[in-house]
Amino acid sequence: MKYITLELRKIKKTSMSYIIFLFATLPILLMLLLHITSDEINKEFYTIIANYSVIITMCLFTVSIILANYIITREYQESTIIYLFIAPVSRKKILASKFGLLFLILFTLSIFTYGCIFLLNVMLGEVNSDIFARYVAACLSGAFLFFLLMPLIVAIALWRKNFISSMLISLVMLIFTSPFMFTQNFYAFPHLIPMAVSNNMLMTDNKLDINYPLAFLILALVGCLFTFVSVRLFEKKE
Amino acid sequence: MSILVQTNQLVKQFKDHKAVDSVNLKVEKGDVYGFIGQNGAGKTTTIRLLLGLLSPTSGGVELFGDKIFNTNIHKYLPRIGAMIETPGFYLNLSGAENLDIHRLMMKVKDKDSIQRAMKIVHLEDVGKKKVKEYSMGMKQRLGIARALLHNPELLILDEPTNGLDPRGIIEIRDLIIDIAKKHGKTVLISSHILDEVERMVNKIGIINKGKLLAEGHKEELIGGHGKSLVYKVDNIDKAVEIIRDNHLFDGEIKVEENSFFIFTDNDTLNSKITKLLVENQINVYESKIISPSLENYFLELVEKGEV
Amino acid sequence: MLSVVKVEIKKLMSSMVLWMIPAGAILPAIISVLVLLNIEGVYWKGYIHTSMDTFNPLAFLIFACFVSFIWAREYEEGMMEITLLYPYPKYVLLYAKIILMFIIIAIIVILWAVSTYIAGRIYLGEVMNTGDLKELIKMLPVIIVTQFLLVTITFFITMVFKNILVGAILGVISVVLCYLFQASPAIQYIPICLPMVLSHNLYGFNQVILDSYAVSFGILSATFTVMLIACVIYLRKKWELH
Repeated sequence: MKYITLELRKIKKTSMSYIIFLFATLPILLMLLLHITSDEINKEFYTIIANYSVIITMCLFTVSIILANYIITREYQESTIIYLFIAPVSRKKILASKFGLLFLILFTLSIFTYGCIFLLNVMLGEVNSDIFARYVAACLSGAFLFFLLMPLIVAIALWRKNFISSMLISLVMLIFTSPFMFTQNFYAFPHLIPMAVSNNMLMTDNKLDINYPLAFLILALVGCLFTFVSVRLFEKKE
Repeated sequence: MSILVQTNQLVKQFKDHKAVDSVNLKVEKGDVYGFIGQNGAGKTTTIRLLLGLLSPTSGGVELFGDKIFNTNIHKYLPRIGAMIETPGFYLNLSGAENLDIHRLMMKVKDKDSIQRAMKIVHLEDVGKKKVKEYSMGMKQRLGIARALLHNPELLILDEPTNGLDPRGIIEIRDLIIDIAKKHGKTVLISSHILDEVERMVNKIGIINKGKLLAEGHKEELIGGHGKSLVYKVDNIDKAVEIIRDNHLFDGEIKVEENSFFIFTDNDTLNSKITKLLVENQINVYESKIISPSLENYFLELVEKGEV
Repeated sequence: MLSVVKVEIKKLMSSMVLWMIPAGAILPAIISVLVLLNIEGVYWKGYIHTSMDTFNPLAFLIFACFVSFIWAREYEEGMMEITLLYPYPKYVLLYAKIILMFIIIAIIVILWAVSTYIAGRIYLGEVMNTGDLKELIKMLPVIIVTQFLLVTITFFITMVFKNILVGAILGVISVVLCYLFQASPAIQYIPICLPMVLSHNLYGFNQVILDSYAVSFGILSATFTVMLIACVIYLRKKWELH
């Protein structure tokens, strides 16, 4: 916990704080804007959320890619990694504290974003227990599944050791394969699973027929594999 | 003698402090000008103002006899070679490729200038290596090579010996002296390593807390300044009393823990004082003459400036 | 100016983002084929439509990343001071980078068209008819010009924030906006969505609303001009590094 707090202190007063805030509030503002500009037929707030839920998941995924790349590559680019390695803390613990920070921020962001959108829904539309349950399911499953994906992003960051390079790889990977998110083939792209699952939780029509246990299993395997790869890369003496 | 660099009451005010305060410096053609000061004195800020990288709060800069503004500085830049603090490079390009980019930007047609510049700084064997594999000293040398590449009239080097090994420092020192003497270039070096600067320069400007405390030729400034006789004796108070009673020296005698200093230009006083002390049963463990140096002069000036 | 452009090309050739040129050009074609793989009755125009729909929103992301890289890189690698010491007015350095961006955009768009044709040829197993091919070729200058008119937005924001991340963030926002407003009449007034809107309609698909070509081109031209002026003014007034 102490190390997670230290990691949090490192990103305070950096541009990351503004970026996190921007991507946390962007979906909220966009949903509001859509609601305002929609014609009367499509104006039901939850319908807008359901149809455009991919925006929320895409913003959350983008900020998690940026953050994961930043907290890893910054240490290499600013040459502070040497001082981390000579501290009396095992490298596994250091890496674990970075994952811990990602977990904390991802969950906080998800709860904040979905929470604000839910509040907007309460003010601007109709809410019932089913809708509430969908929000909770989308929030928690999305955050948890994104977190399972973080080892992949961290492994790319550890491989490239350069912020822009690793971030662009992750972003291009996400954006260019995003059309598959709406097809049954999304299982082939593990990085799309969190978004596909979260979207499906919120949607009322045109839902994909998702095998949730399979989706969780694929991501769990990817998470374990890339955790192992990340640890190996981080512990490599060069 | 024509003046290549001149500032008139140059001031640079940042939000919370005045980094440069009414600086009037003058660098004449052929000078090797040592611009010295402590860390944070305002050396690099002044150099940035000279090169047009910062705009002054008030006052002006003249280069090659003309007043410089943001809109006309680029016309004079081909005549200036500069290296400011730790030089930046495109890390994934080789040393030679970085210099080639500089050559193209400075409109130098001669492609051999790259090899020549690298040879001067002894990097000819590592030209094809990527800069990210260079050590700090190699990057420093490459920065100097880049400053020399387009054969400028005026060379401005900010801390050129940073990160260099002792041999490298000597090489750069000899290079700078060579550039000034044989090739008639004017050099402005800023540094806080006084010993090295003293060996290279003919003119000095001392800056402290943004103010130019002194400027002039090295010999005129340092002159007899800082010359002193130092004695280590067993009974300092008695020794000082004996010197005063015998009217050997009536000026300032500075007493420290186990030694005392007499500030004088009169070398012959040393043997007289030593003889007198020994005759009066004072044990003299050490006596020496400390010659004038830039370091002593600088410290004296800075201390006065801080009072 | 030519020597400055040559230098910019030299710097780009060895940069770490060069892979985005083939990635940005080839991936949309491959992705389109994969998306349509299990669908029957696909024809050339439909395939091009899918490829264009994949390419257009992502193109701004790619170009914005390039813009912020080629500008902010100078700060990241400590080269901005040396760059400002070159004997050129500052706006020449900006113009050289803008010209470089035009070259990059042209290359990527042409490569995209070629890879789309090749992938389509393999997938559909037939040659594209001349009419469709001519229309595709006519589209290319439109896409190049409309995407180019947006580069000054990214240049200006990167100048202000001096951060390589600006392009990526702007790019993601543009993807989000294009997706959000594709069924809304508001899309024809959002500059970063206009390349998608214009190419869509000019190619004969009318699913994205467009009332007037003149207004859209006017918006793009005005955006380019205003942002370029903002860049030049910013360079004159706020170029100091410290």
